[in-house]
Amino acid sequence: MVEAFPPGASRASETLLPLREQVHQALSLLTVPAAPRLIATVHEAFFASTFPSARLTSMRRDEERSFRTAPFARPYYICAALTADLLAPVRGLLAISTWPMERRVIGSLSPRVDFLTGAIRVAEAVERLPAPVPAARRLLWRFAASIPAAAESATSMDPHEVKQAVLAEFQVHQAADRATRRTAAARAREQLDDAQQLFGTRMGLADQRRGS
Amino acid sequence: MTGTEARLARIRGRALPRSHKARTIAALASNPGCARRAILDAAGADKQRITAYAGFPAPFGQSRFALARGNAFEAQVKADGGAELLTLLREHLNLPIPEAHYDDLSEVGGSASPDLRHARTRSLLARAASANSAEGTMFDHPLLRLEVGSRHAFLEPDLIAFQLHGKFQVAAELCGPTRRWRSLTPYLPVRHRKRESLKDYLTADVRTELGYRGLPPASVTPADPEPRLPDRWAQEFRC
Repeated sequence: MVEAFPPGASRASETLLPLREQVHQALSLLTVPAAPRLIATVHEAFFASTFPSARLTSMRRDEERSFRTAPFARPYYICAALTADLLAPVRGLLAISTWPMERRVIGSLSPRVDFLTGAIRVAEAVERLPAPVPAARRLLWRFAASIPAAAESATSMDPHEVKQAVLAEFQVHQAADRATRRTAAARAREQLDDAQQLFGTRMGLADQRRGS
Repeated sequence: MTGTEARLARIRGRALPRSHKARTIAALASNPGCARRAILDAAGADKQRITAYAGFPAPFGQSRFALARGNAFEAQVKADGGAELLTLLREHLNLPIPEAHYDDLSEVGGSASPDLRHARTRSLLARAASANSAEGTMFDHPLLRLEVGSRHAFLEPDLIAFQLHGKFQVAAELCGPTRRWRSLTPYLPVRHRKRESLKDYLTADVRTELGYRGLPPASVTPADPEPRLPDRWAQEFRC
């Protein structure tokens, strides 16, 4: 259940909740892997506090270190999304370790499918808000503007109509994307160890090249 | 090392060879008659450092601000799996809805090695070009290879979009250089209006300003359809 506060209603959450909890909140609302900037915007829109997205750049590395030191010691980890072909971490996407592998692998259609899923979740969250929150509507408009027939303008936008438009496009991509993800997820479960399943595999050359 | 390569290496000296980039290939193509340039390029010499050493440093380079703006724009259109870009492709090139694939080629399995990226680009583009494949719409930072003066040069377009009509489109070609500009604020003419139509008056004014800046003349269309000067907002700035 999403609890939304009008901006300014509860500033306490800014200081009391650790950053990873805030990221967890935003990702749980979206239900799909997302980039730091989107995570920060979602948190600002629905949880009335934000953080600079640059603070998330090292989060995945910190979480990986923590997992390797004491596996499964935490109830969840902020982890990577994996590319469907090479099962390597996708650049700039964060996910939650408790999600099924199918949701965390990214095929070539998945960015669009995840964008549409995120749009549905944001539209639902906007519908649940007791009073209109400008930041939340702005976020929904950001999604709606890139979806065919979702809304005419930011002012006339209706969350329910946005959802209907999203579902129409969603159905076009869903089957192909699900098949790719299912195959890749099965491969990941079969071939990778626990840490690799969460944080991906890397080619041996990667670190050498970066260092040079 | 062949005789020619050894001679070119001697011209370059101890410095490491510089490989071609899109910019240097464009410069080479637009100066086909310059033999000195061709030799320096073939040797992989650093021309900017040579000119600076000779006392003629390049008066300007690439603006940091322009680069930052370019990168910010690219990040914006490519965010969320190229959502904004997809909207543009659908609106202007009638890209069918199922065509929404997005492949990031700036890394392969966490490695940024040019050879790996080039090999992966080749295989993905070949798969997309095969007639019975529905995969491959947008390729983010693919790495292409071109042979220039018997050296391999890597070229990295920001994005390649694939159309069903069997033609790859490179991002810069999708829109081309800007030819039309629209002022977001009301245009404030610098000169007084003579006996001429509003459109002629504005066109003459804009042309004179462009001329001062060494820019080619432009045709002007007033965005406000009413035949008046929307200059009330400017009253406070007039003396």
